Amino acid sequence: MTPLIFSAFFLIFAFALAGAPLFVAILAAAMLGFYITEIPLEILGVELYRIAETPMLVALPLFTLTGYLLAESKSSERLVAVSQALIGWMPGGLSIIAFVTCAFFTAFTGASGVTIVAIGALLYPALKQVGYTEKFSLGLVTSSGSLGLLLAPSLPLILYGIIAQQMNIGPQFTIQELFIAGCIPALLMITMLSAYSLFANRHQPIERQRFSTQALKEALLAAKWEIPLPFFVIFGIYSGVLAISETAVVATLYVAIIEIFIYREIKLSQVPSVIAQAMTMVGGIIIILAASLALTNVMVDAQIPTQFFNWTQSFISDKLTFLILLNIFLLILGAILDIFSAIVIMVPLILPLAIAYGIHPVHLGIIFLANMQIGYFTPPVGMNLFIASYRFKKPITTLYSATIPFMLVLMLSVLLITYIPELSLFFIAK
Amino acid sequence: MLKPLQKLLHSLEDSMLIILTLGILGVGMTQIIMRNLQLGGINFADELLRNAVLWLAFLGAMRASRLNQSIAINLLAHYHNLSVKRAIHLIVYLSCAAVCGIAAYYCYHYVLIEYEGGDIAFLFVPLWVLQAVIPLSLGVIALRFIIQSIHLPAHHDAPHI
Repeated sequence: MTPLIFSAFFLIFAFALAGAPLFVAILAAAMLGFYITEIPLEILGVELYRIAETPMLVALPLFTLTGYLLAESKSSERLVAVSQALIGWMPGGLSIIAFVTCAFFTAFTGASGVTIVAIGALLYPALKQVGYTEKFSLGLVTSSGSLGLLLAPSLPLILYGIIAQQMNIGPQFTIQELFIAGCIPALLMITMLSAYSLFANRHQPIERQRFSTQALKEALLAAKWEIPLPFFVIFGIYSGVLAISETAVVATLYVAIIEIFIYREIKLSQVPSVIAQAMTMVGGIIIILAASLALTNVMVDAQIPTQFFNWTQSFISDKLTFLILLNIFLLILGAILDIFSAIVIMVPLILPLAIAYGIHPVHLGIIFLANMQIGYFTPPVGMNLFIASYRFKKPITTLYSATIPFMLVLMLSVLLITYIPELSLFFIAK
Repeated sequence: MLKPLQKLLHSLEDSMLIILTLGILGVGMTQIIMRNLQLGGINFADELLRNAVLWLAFLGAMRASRLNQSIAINLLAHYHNLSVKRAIHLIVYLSCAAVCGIAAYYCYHYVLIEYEGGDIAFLFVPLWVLQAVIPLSLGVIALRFIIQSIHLPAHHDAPHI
């Protein structure tokens, strides 16, 4: 690489850090790559059009819209009410409620920060009211904002599946298998966080709610239209009766009908704006994917993944060291890059490497997202820290210290997920 | 003179996004119903849906650029010296405009080649019509970056609600 070309790539990287939209930076790198290899730039048209040749991508806008519709309605309140009636009587009940409801909500809304706004805002005052300290409550709602990324139908999980399948290397797998793989790790995270919460508050006088059949009945009745949704999505995805995109179509229409016509919490006149907002986010993500597909081809042509692999192998000889370095790298990446960009940019580079070290692509997906989940609230720039700081009107430094214990618990769970592949692969046919 | 034109473009963008989304839902649902009634389904539905997602993506990205919501890292957002920030923003955005402009130009050329080739994507829809959204949106985004290069955006965050 001549110094001139090297400086050009460096400049693109610097511009990306200085605020250039990521898709433009990636596109610029791809264009430079084509230019160097003397491929006519008309190839960009072919490359960007590959989005229309990517199967399953249609699930992405639809599940995004489902999430936006749910966020716009009062479904979060009903979800909290049901879980409160169900498990509010248990020791540490309210904190467990927080973990479970955040995980479910995030699975549908794709960790867009909306979980903190919709559910965290409901639970934060409630947690303080029953006796949790302010610091604990704040840490809990902030770190739970990205819990549930590993559960179906989370958008990052779908995106990982689409990209890994496009690359067509290593053992083949389906998106369904990826969803199945996420179940135990997600449960592990929720369990460990709940256990920590019980332990941390063992000397704290926490008020418990008495179990009431009447309250449960009322909460279930109020949420009777939304309760079938997760079951339907799980059934649709896992049974194979519907394809993922078809499940997305039915789920979106169902949510639209119940929120607009039955609960009447979204006015018909609001729908166009909700759709436009959701599709702006979708456009922002898919255009990065489009540019990345082009860049990946440039890199493959230049044999960069192979060189990267040889270089890595020169100092990492075993799987264990690779996994440790991967965890550190992904944690840092998650703290500076948003999850969708991180997936589309890094998966094409990391997947071939991971497969060469004997890591199953499904396991890699779970490791990748589990790390990214922590990145959401890793200082200094984890997105959920800013959202929580804005929503709860607390200085960002307060949030840094409030989230640390939760981060340590989640890091421990990530280590378990990373080094015990069976947690992810137990139900996957190998 | 420019304002009404701009307004028209904005509402056209938004309407297209809404129509495409509703279209995807409609076609998707029709497919499911027809398949379950053993009616076979629309044979070009898959291509239609995938191209609709392409259009959604590029039009969505256009809207994101209009609202300054394109996903970006921006380490400068928390830096306080306003004039330095403005200068860097100007340089970065003008460069982005150049990148998108060049990309739009070459994609336009590619679409012209497809136009001359006369390939049909499905039914009677020529392939070039479906691909036209790529240079079109990149061109509009380039123009927006030029306009936005002068103003420092009020917020630098990603569009996550």
